[in-house]
Amino acid sequence: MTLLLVEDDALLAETLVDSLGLEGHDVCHLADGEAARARLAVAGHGAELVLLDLNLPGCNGLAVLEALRRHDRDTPVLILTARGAVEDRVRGLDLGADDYLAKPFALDELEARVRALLRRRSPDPQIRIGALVLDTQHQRFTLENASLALPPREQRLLACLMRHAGEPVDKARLTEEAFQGDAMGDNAIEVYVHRLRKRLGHSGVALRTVRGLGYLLEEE
Amino acid sequence: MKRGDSLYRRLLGWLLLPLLVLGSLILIQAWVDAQRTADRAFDRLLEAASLAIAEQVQWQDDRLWLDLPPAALEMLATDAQERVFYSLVDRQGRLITGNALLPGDPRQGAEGEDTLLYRHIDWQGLSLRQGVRRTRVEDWRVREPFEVRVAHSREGRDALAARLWRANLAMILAMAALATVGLLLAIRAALTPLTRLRRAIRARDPRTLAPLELSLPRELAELRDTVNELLARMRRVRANQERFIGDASHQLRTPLAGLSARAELALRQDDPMRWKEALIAMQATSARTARLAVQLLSLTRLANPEYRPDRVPVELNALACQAVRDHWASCHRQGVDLGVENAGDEVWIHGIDWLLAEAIGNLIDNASRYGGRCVTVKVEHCPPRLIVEDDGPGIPEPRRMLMLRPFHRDRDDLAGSGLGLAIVDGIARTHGARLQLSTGHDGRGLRVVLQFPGDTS
Amino acid sequence: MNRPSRVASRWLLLISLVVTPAVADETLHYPAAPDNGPATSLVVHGALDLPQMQPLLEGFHRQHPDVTVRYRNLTTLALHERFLAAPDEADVLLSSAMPWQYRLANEGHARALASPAAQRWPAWARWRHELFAITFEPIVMVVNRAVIERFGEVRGHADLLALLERHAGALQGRVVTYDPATSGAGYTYAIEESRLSPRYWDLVAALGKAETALADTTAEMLDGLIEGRYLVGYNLLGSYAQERLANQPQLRIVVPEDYALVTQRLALIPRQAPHPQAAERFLDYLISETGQTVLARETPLGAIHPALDGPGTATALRQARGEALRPIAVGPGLLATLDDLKREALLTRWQREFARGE
Repeated sequence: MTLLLVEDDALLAETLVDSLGLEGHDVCHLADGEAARARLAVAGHGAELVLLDLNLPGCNGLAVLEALRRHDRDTPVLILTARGAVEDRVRGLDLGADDYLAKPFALDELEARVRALLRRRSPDPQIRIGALVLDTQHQRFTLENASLALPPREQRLLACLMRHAGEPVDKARLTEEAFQGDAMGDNAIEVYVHRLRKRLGHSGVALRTVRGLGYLLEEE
Repeated sequence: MKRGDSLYRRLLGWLLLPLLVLGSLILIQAWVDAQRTADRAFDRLLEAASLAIAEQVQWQDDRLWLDLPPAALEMLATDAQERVFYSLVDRQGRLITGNALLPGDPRQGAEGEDTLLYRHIDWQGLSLRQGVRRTRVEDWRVREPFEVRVAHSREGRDALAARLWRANLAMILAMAALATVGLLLAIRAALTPLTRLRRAIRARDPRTLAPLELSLPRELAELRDTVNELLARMRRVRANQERFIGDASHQLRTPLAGLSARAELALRQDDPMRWKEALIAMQATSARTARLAVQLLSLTRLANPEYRPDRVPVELNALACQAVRDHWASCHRQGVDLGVENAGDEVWIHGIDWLLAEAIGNLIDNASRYGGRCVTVKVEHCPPRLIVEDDGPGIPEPRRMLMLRPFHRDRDDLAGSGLGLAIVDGIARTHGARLQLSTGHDGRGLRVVLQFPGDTS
Repeated sequence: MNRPSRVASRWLLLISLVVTPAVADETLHYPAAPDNGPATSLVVHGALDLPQMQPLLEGFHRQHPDVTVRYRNLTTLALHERFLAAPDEADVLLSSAMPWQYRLANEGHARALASPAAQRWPAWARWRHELFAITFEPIVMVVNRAVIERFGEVRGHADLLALLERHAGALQGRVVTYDPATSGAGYTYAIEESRLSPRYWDLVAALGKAETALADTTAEMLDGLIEGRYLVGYNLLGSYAQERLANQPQLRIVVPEDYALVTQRLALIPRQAPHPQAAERFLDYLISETGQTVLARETPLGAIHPALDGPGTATALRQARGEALRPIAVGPGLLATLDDLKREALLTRWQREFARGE
């Protein structure tokens, strides 16, 4: 995946290029806003994802975003900015950015968000979370390369959690997904979660409880 | 500033108007006076003429008899050549002689009393002034009352009244002119302190907050004192800001110095293990510094009185859920179990969502940093409350208030910035909410409550 | 009758219709010249005889040919009463009865004249711009030369008094004066004199002592004087005397030196005059230099205009007599003259004094 990084700070840019490269992405770095705008203003810029800093020399980051969005609504854009004001955040999102990360941020966070954006963009036929893989086309689960057979409700539950991997999903949503309108008790979902946990065992994939919010699935 | 709304003109208007009214009143008074004086002067003629006629009335051959003195009538016509009328009337009102039957004195006089009446009459289309003398002929046998009525037209007295009034008019106009000139000069002189004030303010260095030193009259002195108070407040604010900036820059410098030194030290060494150790240490410090910088920004924004975002309706349950969502991952990394407990119904308050999110963020951050293993964000209604509770060591009661001061850190707290609770306190105050620190449930940990005013409408 | 005399008599008739010298209702008529644009009328009522009025009217007509003038000569009484009966008949009233003219003006029957000439008219000769004195006629004594030759000059009232007291016998029945009881003018002069002179009543007594004849009009007195019935006439109208005695060299007109009353004819424009503009023009003419010159030169009435000098003018008379002239004041004093009780009182006294002398 070719990612376009528009960031003027040398240290930060170098770090991001390296870390994202390690993830397996091709990162193209531009330090100047004007250059970025020129590149993104025309089709065929070739970027799968744009990481855009707002405080750029030459051309304001929002202008770059506007130039892109004029003809391209699909390429996801993640805004990075030192300005924490909510107006900037809102403006960025209004102008078409997909996500927003305030500096200073944790590298893990950035990587996770990049992954989420890319996942959204090209829904992989396969959802991979650690050793757990779901083939969405055939609805086949694989754990540590071994096929995982699940009853339908557990399948639906697990599929939902995998689709929102890293984010908490609330119980009501899970209940709906899993039981699809069947009348079950309030705690039925907990039983199924417990079952799934057992299956996942120590595979390096954890089904965590987020108190008050629901459950999430993540790689340990 | 409205064009034409000038203090000078207002003063002028407010002073000239009464002057004009007064002047008019004086003119009217002068006219009335002139009329009265003229009447008094000319009524003398009526008095004298009626007396001259009355003295010539006799009782003869059982009737009233008059040898009319022509001089009596001639004195009623002055240079203005007034029309002259006279009647002699007996007690029954019958005309004894005369060139006109003039109306008489309508009053009932006491017997034996001589009366003299002056009045204005409109007689046969003519405007006349009349004198009516009631008296009697006294003989040793007879006491016969009669009335002498004389009248003349008004040309002479009106001319005199006009002349008197014109003389007065000239005088009054001259005085009015003098008064107006005096007024203009006086107002100009009185308004000089304003000019002085304006000049003093203009002459100031725009950046200075030094008080205005200027001697002014009492009313302007109040203005000057108010301005000086404002300037004093601004000086305090500025001093505060400067102290804050000083503290802040000090706070930032220290960890940056540490980073720099550590890096320098590591570069001198060759052992990659040492480098790794150094990097770990440096990473921690720079993370801390980064957080400090963010918090400083929040605090500055909170302290800025010019920046007042509008309060909108905010639902606390949704806010709490979102906060937990946002911070769950980082808490989980630190091994802290972050959860949320919502109130049953929706809890709406008026506030600024991102400020409240920041407050919760700071509290969660504090709770997880200072030893809490389990941090819960709770929402209550009646009264609306946002609570962050942890099961860490908590803060002993006597030190709780101290924790709210910026840059104050507990002596055990090396990693913190000392700003977190100060920020939350600031946010609470912005929302008119109360910040309360207490012990968590089971008697351990810290419970921070943001209690909002009002009910859940 | 032959043709020329028929024509002549017809013309005479025509003229007589136009210029009718009827005594009861004398009129003069001056038709307007037809080629002077629209004609206006003017009706003048006056107590002046036609021969005296004629020069004035002719002079006016020459100046204002577009005005048709009609002058009616009436006695002062008729003039007054006719006016009261029909106040909108006449445009101008001219009368020698000063008290009555004054009364009309005083009661508001007159219209004010606002022309420049009126503004300049001397204050003693007008009242309020409503009443204008246009003539200046001294009241005179007429003395037969025989008396002068015999008894000496009679220059004034003092002389007359002395004459009457000393020579009452010689002058028995040969003196004439007005009867104040029957003559309006005579009464007016009497009342004025009684105010003027402290010795008036002595004079009246002296007249009584001389069995003075009492006449009603100046004409009567003049007739008698001319015929020689009377030798001394007292209080005659100077203008009339002058006219009639022009060719009577034996009679001397004496303007008294100690004091001499002066009567004035008063003109007014009635408020309801039918032709006010024409009336104003006429009155303006009367007080103009032109009109006044006509009065001075062509009538014996005397002119008041201060610019005029020479015989027949007030100015000349003042120069001759100065202080002695006592014009009857146009003022409210005239109302006393009209007062009934005053009249009764005065006449009673007059008759008493007159009888005392006898």
